[in-house]
Amino acid sequence: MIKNIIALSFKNLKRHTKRTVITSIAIGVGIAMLIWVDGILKWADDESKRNLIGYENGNFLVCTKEFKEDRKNLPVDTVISKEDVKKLLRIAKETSCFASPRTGFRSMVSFNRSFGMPYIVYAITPSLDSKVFKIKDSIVEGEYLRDDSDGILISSYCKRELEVGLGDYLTVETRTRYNTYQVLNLKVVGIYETPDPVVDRNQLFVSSKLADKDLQTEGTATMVVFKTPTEKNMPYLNQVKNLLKKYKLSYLTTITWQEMGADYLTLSKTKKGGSGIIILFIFVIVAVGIVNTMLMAVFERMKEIGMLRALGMRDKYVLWSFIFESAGIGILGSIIGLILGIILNAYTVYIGIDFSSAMKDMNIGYRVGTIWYSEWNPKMMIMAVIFGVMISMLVSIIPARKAIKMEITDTLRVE
Amino acid sequence: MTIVECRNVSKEYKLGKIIVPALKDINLTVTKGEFTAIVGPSGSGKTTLLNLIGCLDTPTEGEIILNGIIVKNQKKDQLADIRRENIGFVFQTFNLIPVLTAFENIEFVLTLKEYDKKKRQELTLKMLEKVGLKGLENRKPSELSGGQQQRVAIALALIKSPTLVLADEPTANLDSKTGESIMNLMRDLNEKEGVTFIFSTHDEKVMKFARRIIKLHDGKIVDDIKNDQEYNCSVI
Repeated sequence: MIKNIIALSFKNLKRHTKRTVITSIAIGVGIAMLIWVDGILKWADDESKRNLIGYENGNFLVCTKEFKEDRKNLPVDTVISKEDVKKLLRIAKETSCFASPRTGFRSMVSFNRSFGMPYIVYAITPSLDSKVFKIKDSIVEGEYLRDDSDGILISSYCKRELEVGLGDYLTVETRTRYNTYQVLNLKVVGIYETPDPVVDRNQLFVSSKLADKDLQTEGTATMVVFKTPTEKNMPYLNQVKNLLKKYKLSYLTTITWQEMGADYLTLSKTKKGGSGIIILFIFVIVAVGIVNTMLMAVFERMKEIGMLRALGMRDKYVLWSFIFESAGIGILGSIIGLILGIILNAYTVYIGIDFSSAMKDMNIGYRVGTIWYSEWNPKMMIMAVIFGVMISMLVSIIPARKAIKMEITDTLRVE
Repeated sequence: MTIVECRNVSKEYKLGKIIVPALKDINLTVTKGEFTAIVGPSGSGKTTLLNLIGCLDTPTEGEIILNGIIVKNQKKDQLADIRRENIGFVFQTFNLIPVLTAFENIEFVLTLKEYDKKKRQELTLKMLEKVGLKGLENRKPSELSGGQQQRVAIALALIKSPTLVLADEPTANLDSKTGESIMNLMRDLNEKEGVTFIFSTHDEKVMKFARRIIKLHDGKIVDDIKNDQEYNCSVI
C-alpha cells in the first residue's frame, strides 16, 4: 500500500514541474547556505585553534600565581627566576614537550618622531621560541632573530602602520622589570606575517639577551610556554603539574590555551548559536515553501482527495500521500542544496574569500587572517540533507491535515 | 436480499444560524440486483440521500443499514473500510486522478484492497475490456473524451466487485448520445453481473433506464414506482 502511495506522490510531483522545481531551488539555496556557512565557520574555528596554539599561547604556559591573576596587564614584577626557568626547561625535556621562556613588555613604539603605537614587545630566546611558535616560518622580509640579536622583529601590520622598513630604527618606550622608564632604539631585522591577527597587530619580538641587558630581566621570564608533541593537552599538563610539585615550584601555576583564548572560545560558542539561527532561517524557507506549495496542491486536488476517500482510502494514507510528495520536494531540494553547497564550499576551500579591505583593522575574535577559507564537513552535509527532507515532511502535515479535515461531501462539491 | 435500508432518515445542514432540512423521514429498502433511479428537481435531496447511503455523510436522525451493518455508530476509518469493500461511486465530474493512466486509475482501487500486482493487472485489463476501453489503457484522463472518462469512472466503481454502485447524475456532463451509451453500460452490467445500481438524475430520458424510480421532493419521498416500460438494452 505505502509503496503505491509513494509512487502516486512522486507522480503528483510532475503535475506542476515549475512549481516543484522553484520550491526545491528555494530549499536547495537554504541547504547550500547551511553547508557553506558551516564549512567557513568550521574552518574559522579550527584555524583559530591552530593559530592560538601555534602563534599566540602554545598549548599551555607556566607562570607565577600573581601573573595569572593579573595576566591581562602583563606584569613584569612577578617573574620566574633564572634557576627556575632552567628547571622548567628540564621539565619540558622530561615530558617530551618544547618550552620557551617569554617576557612581555607593554611598550609604545614609534618611528621618525611619529606618535607612538602600543605594542607588546616579547623578549624571547629565538632558538627555543622557534620550536614552540611558528613565527620563524612566517618571516616575509629580512631574517628571524638570532639568540644574540640586538634588533627587533616586527609584523607586516606594524610595518604598514608605522611606515617602517628593514634596517630602520624603531623607538621603543617601555619600563624595565624594576619599573624604570627605558627607551630603546632598535633596528628592524625581520618582518613576519602570521595568519593570527592578534599576534600581527600587537606583538613585536626582541632577543632575551637584549632584554637581560636593557630591560633588566637577567635570565628571568614572566612565563614559560609549552608545546606538547601531540594535540592532547591534558596528559602533558598533568605531568608538568606533577613535576612542578616535585621540583618544589609551588609558587608557579599553569594556564591552558583555552583559558588564554577565552574571548575566542566565547565566540566559538556564539558560533554554535549562529548556526542555530541559520538552521532556523532555513526552516522558515523550507516551511514557507512547502506549506505554500502543498496548500496549493491540496486546494487544486480537493475533488481527487474526496474521490480517494470515497473509494475507501483511509485518511492516514491521504495524509501520507502529501507527506511523501513533500519528501520528494525535500529530496530534490536537498540534492540541489548539496550540489550547490559543494560548489560554493569547494571555491572557499581552494580559493578563499578575500576580506582584506573589510577586515584590515577589525578584530572579530577569530584568530584568522583576512582571507577566509572553508573546510569540508561531511557530517553536516549529511545532516543538512536529512534536515531538508525531514522538515519538508514535517511541515507538509499542516496542509495535508486540511485535506482530511474537510467532509468528503464538501471536497466533492469544490469546483 | 436487502442491501440498503433507510429507517426514518433525516438530514439537516447548518447554514450559519439557519438550519436547512435536506431529507425528512426517509424510509427506503433496496434489494440486491435493483437498478434504481432517484429523481427529483434540484435541491430535492438526491445527492444527500446518495451520500448518506454511500457512507460519505451521516444522517442527523434515523439509521442506515448497509449490508447488515448499522452505519450510524461507525468510526471514520470503519466507514472508509465499508466504502472500500462495499460501495462503488460514479460522479458526474468523473473525478479521476489526472497523473495516472486509465489503467493506473482503475488499478489504484485494487491497491487499496491490497491485491497483488498480478491479480490487479489481470482484473484491470478484464474491466477495461468490459467497459469498452480496450486499447485506451495507457491514456491519461485528459486524453480521453467525457464518455470515455465516465467509462473509466464506472470501471473504477466496479473493479472491486461492490455490492452497491452509487452514481450521482452520471450523465449530467455528457451529451445525450454518450449519456445513453453510459446508461446502457450500467444497465448491461446490472443485468449480466447482477450489480445493484442506485443513480440520481433529473433527466427523463435517463429515468427510463431504471426499473424502479424513487421520486423526491423537498427532501421527502413522494413516489416509489416500478418502471415497467420495456427498454431495449443495446449491445455495448
